[in-house]
Amino acid sequence: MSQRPEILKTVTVGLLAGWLLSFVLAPTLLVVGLSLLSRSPAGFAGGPVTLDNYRRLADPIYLHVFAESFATAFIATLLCLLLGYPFAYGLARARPGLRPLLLTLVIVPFWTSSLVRIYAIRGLLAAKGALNNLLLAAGLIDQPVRLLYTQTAEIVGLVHVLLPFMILPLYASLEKLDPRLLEAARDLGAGPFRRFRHVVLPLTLPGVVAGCLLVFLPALGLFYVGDVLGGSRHLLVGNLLKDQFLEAQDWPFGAAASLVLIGLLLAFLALYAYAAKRIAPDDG
Amino acid sequence: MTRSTIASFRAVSKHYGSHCALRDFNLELREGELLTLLGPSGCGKTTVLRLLAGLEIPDSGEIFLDGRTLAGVPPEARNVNTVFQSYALFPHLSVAENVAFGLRMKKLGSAEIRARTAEALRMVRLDGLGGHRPLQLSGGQQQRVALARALVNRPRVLLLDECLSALDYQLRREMQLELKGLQRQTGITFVFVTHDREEALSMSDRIAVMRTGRIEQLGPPRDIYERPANLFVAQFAGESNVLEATVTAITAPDSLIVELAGTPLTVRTDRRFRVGARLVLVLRPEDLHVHDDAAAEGGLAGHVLERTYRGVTLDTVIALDAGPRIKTSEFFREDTPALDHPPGQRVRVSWTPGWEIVLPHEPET
Repeated sequence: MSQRPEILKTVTVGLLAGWLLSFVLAPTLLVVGLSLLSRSPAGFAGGPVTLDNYRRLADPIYLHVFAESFATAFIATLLCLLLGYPFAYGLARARPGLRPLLLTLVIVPFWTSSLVRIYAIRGLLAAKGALNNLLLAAGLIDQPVRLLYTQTAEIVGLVHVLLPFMILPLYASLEKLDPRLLEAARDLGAGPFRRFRHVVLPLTLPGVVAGCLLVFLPALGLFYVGDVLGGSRHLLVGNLLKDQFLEAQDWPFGAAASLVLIGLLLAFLALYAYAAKRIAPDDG
Repeated sequence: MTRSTIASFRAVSKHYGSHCALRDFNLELREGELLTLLGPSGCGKTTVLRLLAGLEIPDSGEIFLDGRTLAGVPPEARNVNTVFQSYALFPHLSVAENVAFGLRMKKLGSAEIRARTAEALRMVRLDGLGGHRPLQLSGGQQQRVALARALVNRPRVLLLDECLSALDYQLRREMQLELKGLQRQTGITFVFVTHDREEALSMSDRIAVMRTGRIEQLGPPRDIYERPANLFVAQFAGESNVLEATVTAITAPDSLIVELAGTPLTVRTDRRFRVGARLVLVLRPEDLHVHDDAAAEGGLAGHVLERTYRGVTLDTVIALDAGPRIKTSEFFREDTPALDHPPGQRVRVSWTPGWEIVLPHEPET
């Protein structure tokens, strides 16, 4: 009698496992294998098996790219958080009738390719771009300011592209926040700052962490933001990876670099899981 | 002993949009009493608590605590704490951290916080559960945490907003006794909101029966039940048989003869009526006795429609010859010979003279 559900279960789980094996585990293992090979003169990869690729990553040049890229992504994430939190808070407290409209406004930018929007920002920030013209016309500056090809430009681009990814998870957790808890905190003597510090922030921490991950992780890899706004002097890890595969044709080294990146990202995810578990031990 | 006033509402009004929650509301709270606001949902009783807590601002009128106006005083600065209907426990904090929240906000020393938290948890019999998360506890335990979290601050007034309504019957009974005990033990003034009349009658020093933003009657439970000010209070305070009658004669300052659909009855009342005036008699089911028609005289005649055995009482629905139906609720006692009246049997219903409640007739609203 229970035969049929058993079969169904086996098939479902089997399909899922098969999918994960062939599209996640196998490619990852290929990358792992690749990262242990050497670059072959023929252009791809060959023997001997070596850890050289990982050793090469310890080179100050690459460490510098990683460090700078992490710094850029960190600042962009922080800015997204500082801009996104008040916005999400307002969104969650807005009249229910107004919320769909505001949410749509957050999502509208997705309708245009982010690459196109990055080029638009380039137009704004260029030496003879809109922003410089405006500042010149206002008499605030005498000659165009260098805006493009700076870390600032890169950060502006990253914040612009990634802000919705911060707002949406923050909104989700702020909207779930029971306003009665805030009343209880008031009743128990907590002023506005301490209500935020002791109730709102801890309870929306999973949203904060989720938003930061959704911004920070792509911020490391959005190579076209680096290309278009950062120029050659401000590389993101994404640029490094792309260049190894497409420009330098050094696939084993690129594979090693991506694995290190994946490792770092997994560490962040573990942090998230830990934070989420601390908030709600019951829900696992 | 007259107790001094601890808090008062003077001509307070509050609207939510076009809905009037309170109108020209006056109330004096006495030091150390347990006052219950009793009324149907939407009568404004929760608004009274929220105004005193500061979670709502009155449109007009003033509220005083310990003789000082609360106008402009935010909730966090009021020495008043609330046990919320939903408990509103902080899910990210342990039970002990929840209880300690108010003390931490007051920036007390950690040793004092620990001691008072432990004491409060002991008081609600939750010692040993301080390390749990609220969501790991049962409803009754969560209720106690909410109580401890409020009481630990030693507020001047403790506000309890229908906080027992989520518990099952048995647990409610226990918590009612426990609340009453805690109130005596701490001497703190409790304002308790409920729509459950039994809860109100059994726990309160005074009850304020509310309807549509006003107090209909304020007094000790016994007054509310036995001497209701009007039909609404009579019906809200207990099971009621309401019978309309007309005054036919006045035999003494406190005694009338009324006619109830052809049957003359003598009733007692302090109220003044003119001959010919319409009035209502309210009869509590448990005050009524049912007799075999053949064996008795007087009272109201009718026949039995339904009987319900309820363990403690035997409830009977009787169709009076005069028209209306009435419900009786008789206790089993050795000296009552025949409680058992099968459906269809002719009976007479009587009561101890003077136990009827006589109220002026109110036009239907």
